[in-house]
Amino acid sequence: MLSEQEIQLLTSYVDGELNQRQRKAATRLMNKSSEARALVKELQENAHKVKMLPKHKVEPSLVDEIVKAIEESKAQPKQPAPPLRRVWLPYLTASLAAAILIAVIGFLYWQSIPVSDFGTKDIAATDKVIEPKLDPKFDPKIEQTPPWKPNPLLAQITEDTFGGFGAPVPIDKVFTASFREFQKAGVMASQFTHELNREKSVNVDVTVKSNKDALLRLRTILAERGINLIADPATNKASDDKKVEYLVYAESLTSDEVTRLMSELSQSYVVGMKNSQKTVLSPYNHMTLKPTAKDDRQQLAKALGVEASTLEPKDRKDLKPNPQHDKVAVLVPANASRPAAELAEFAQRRSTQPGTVQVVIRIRQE
Amino acid sequence: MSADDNRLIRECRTGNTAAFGELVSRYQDRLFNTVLRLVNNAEDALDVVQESFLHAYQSLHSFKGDALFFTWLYRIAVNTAISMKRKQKPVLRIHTGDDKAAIDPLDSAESNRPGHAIEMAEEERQVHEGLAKLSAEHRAVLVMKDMEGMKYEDMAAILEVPIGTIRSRLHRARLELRDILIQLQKREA
Repeated sequence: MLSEQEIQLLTSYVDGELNQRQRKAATRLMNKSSEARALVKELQENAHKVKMLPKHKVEPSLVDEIVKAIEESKAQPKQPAPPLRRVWLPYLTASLAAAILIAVIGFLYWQSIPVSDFGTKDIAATDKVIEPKLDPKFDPKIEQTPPWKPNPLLAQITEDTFGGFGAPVPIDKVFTASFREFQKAGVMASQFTHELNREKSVNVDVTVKSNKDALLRLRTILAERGINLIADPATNKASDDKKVEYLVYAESLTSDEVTRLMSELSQSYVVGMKNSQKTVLSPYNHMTLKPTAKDDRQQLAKALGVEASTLEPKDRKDLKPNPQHDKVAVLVPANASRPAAELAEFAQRRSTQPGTVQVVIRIRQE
Repeated sequence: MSADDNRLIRECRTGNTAAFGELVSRYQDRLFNTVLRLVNNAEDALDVVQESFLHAYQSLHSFKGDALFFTWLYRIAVNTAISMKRKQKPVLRIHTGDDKAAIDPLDSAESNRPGHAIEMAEEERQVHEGLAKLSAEHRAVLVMKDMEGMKYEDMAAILEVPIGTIRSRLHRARLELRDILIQLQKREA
């Protein structure tokens, strides 16, 4: 009886996509197992049958139909769409505004200062030393610089402009989208990737219709994508209790891979066997992405049984790539307090990779 | 990309529809045969091919030229076909031969040999039926691999999924097709 791994090796052999070492392993397997030989023969024959399906020629009139359709609809090739977000534009606008403001303030300031303050200017203008005219009430022991009152307009502008610098800095806007919007990929997915690339560590709060369905779907997609899932055994019986939340943690995926994962989670899918198949809508509702907060990190650290400081994101650009690294995701109940053995092992041998993003997905049933 | 394709694309971008007609003429058969296996119906396949060419024409500005024009076109067609299959409710199609009204076999000489023709037709029908029972994703990877001889890497680029996904889809698709063909042979034995 061939193992699943051996069957996979043999199907890849039929695909002609094995490296030398794998090919040798496949050959060894076929040499010792008649079942392996029979399977390969059968799969190769089927591949040949697909290949030999008759080829057809399309009627030449299709060309005319397409050209006619293009001309009728006057469908000109569209011009490239302007970039969705000109990231530099707000900065340029702000810089210009600041420059103009500084110029205006500078001018008003210069205007508001008494001419006598520019003694050297006066001297230069007259080329004479001007004797100060002493006020008869002047007492040299007391410094009597007259209180300078700024131009009221200048005072107002200064207050309005710089007063804000003392105010709390507003928190960055979070990215939020429904999974339905994500189905269309394109714009939303690009924005999501952009937001991922801005941060070293992000938290994605996800709401779902059913914890159970959402986790099942997640497991399927991760498996399809070759991402190894290390799950706390408590997640095997996912609860549709609204109070139970789940955390998915990944630190070996690129931003593109995370976006693709979210995109696949947004798609409807087929369940059931052959004749009783039905299409099921995605159980995922909504997502909100924001930089990982301290509390999120502490909760995750507790679930993984590590110090929160060890989860601080590193600058992954400086890391050396390891081609052997596994793509791994971790699934734990958010309220886990003691890590399962698998998770403890993961925590011990985890390694960060360049070009990846640290992501915590919090799954919550609505 | 061939220099000739490049020239035609440049001309298309200036609004020369005849140049696009040349591109259609060059790739329509190859595209049609792949799409036909994906959608199992000549009429639908023609719709997909036509829609794909129109979409390609309107999106020519986004074609960067870093891949083959056919690969790019193929990506549009495969995604259109998969999308069509997802939208369609499962229906029972009876292969009447009417599909061939719009198409001619390339090699009619081989099919003229009576005994061979019957065997081939039977085998073809079974494979056709087997492919039709697969999901759109599984069918797509099998057609790309076995009919077009594509590498995992190219398939991953076209379907915009990781290579690991292609490998596992092909693995499951091959085993599933094998099981289906065994069942069909048993049923008809």
